[in-house]
Amino acid sequence: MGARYVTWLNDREVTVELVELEGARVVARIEDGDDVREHVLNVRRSGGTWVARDAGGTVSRGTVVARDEQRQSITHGFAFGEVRVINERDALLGGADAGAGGGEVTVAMPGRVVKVLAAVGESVEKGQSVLIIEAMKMENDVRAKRDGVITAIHVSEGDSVEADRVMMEIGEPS
Amino acid sequence: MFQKVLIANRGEIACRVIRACRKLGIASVAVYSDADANAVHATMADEAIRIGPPPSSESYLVGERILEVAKQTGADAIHPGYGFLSENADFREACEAAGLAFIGPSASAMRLMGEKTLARRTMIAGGVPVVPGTAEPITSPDELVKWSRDVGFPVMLKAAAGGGGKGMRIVESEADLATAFEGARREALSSFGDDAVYVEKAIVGPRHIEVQVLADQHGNVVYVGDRECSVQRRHQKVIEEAPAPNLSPETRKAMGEMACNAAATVSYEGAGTVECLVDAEENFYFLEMNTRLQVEHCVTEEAFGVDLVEAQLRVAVGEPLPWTQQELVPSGHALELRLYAEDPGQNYLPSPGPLTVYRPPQGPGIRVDDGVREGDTVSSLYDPMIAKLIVLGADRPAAIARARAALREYDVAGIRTNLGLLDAVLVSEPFARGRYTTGLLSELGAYETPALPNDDLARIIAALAVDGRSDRAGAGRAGAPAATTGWAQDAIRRSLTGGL
Repeated sequence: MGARYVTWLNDREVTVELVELEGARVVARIEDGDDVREHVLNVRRSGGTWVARDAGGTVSRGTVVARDEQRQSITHGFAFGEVRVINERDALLGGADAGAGGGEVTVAMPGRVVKVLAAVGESVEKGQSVLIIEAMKMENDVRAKRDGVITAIHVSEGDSVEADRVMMEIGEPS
Repeated sequence: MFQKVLIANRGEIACRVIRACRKLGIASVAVYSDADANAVHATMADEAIRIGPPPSSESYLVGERILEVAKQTGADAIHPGYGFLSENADFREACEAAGLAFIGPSASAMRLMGEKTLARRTMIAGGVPVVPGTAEPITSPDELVKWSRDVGFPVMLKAAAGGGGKGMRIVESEADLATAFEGARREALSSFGDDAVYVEKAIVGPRHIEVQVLADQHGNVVYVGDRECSVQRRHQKVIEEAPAPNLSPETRKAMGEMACNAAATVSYEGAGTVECLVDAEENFYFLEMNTRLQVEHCVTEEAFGVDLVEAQLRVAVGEPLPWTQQELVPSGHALELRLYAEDPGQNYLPSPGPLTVYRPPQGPGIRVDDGVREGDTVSSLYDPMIAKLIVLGADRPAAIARARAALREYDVAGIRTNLGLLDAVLVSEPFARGRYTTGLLSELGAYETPALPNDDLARIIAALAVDGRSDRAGAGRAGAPAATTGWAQDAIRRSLTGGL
């Protein structure tokens, strides 16, 4: 039996078994709900780009923008999304992480806190600006990803922050 | 001709100037900050000298240090590119005092045009039409409220010392005035070291059209056509085209002549740009003159088949203008699309980071001016524009088709880019018709990044699963080039950047 992986694309869970893997030729058995099919593909990877051509000749190509242990952020034409690929054993052990649910205010770039626009205890709405960060010479609004009450603020105006730093936490709405 | 030119800039424009120097047999000197030690421009020039730590205030903006390097390397001229010191009259004078030629206009022309309220007064005196506004910087919120009430909303706040969209705010109502004033001053101070802000009446639904001019030292000025620059976000240009679409030949000519008049009014020398606002009736107003080479000069170069940087170098040594006005006829339609390291799907959040994949498109009519290569890191310290894609077509539809094909071929990973947004603009109805204003991007609404296509699921999933699998196979093989697989490359990257 080949290696088995559980994957998620657009929150859809699909199991893939790599039945054969020889050079660029790949036979993948994909279980998408009740739909189980074997695909014969030619897969070529070059640096961060991939090209997959199926037996019918249709070509799919894209690039891996970023990844961690489980998640691969990919572009596909102008589309962008995250695909999680974990081996079946880890999936059974609950290795897939759940995500922060938008309660943590973070930003995926380093910068400097110009203004803190909300205070602890204040109610905020999804989409409301809660911080202003200066990066690349421009001021950028950082918006709340959920409705709720600010439970903690970990930064002050003038602080330099690294990427993905949790700057604020938003709890349940009051 | 000059023997050796120092390029006081970085990124794509430094590379552009190095190329022009090389074509004319001029030796080039690049300068770099610690963040740019391995940047393209610093490895492309004949000589490259470190000028300081990463922040531009300690490197690319330190005029004394740059003059020191010029002296040390025996350069006889400085090309400032755009941004940084390009419109700094004090630096211009310091070059002169040090016996160095500066490729650009005189310090007095820079001062007259650089301080926006002075420029307005000068243009009014020269009979050039301007948008109604305050003659002096605004000093108090009360004064701003009073002026805005008198002229009517919306109004536009602008940094007196700068350009490029920094310190600019459009204000729709009195309630937003105080916050906008504070923000504009703060941004003006951090970008230009001067918090002076003035206010103009905002022209509703304007087009932003600019005229390229070139003047020699003998009093001759020509205009090298116009450029439509109305595709903007937060007053930063995103797509430019030359010639501007749907503009009557009479207006085109009148704008060109007005631009030459504006340049002559300040005894301009070299390449410069006169920016205008144009309303639906084709009334045009002088907005400002940029006393330097513009980012979007390439779109004019392609449309007219000229080399503006070469022309700058030639007129700077006293040669007469290389072209007569009659010779300057566009040979097609050109578009420039600016590639930014940002995520338009997330409110244009900047996206600095490692360029793990960078493969620009190729083919006839396609030009890419970039200052990065695969493996470089896009720094959060500098401008997020990493490249310009310029296409030339026989006509506008041909140029758009070529641009769309090229966008599809552009492979970039490691950072997010605005490639999808650029395509969305090209296919939008107002752009396709060539009838749009500076409001285009906000009218199109927030950009939504398309989701991965479910119908391509099998191919995507298999390709990504294979990746993890093949790495494991590679890791067990002695001497296998493990770093060529995605996982391994990523592990290296993560150890360098401390996570994603």
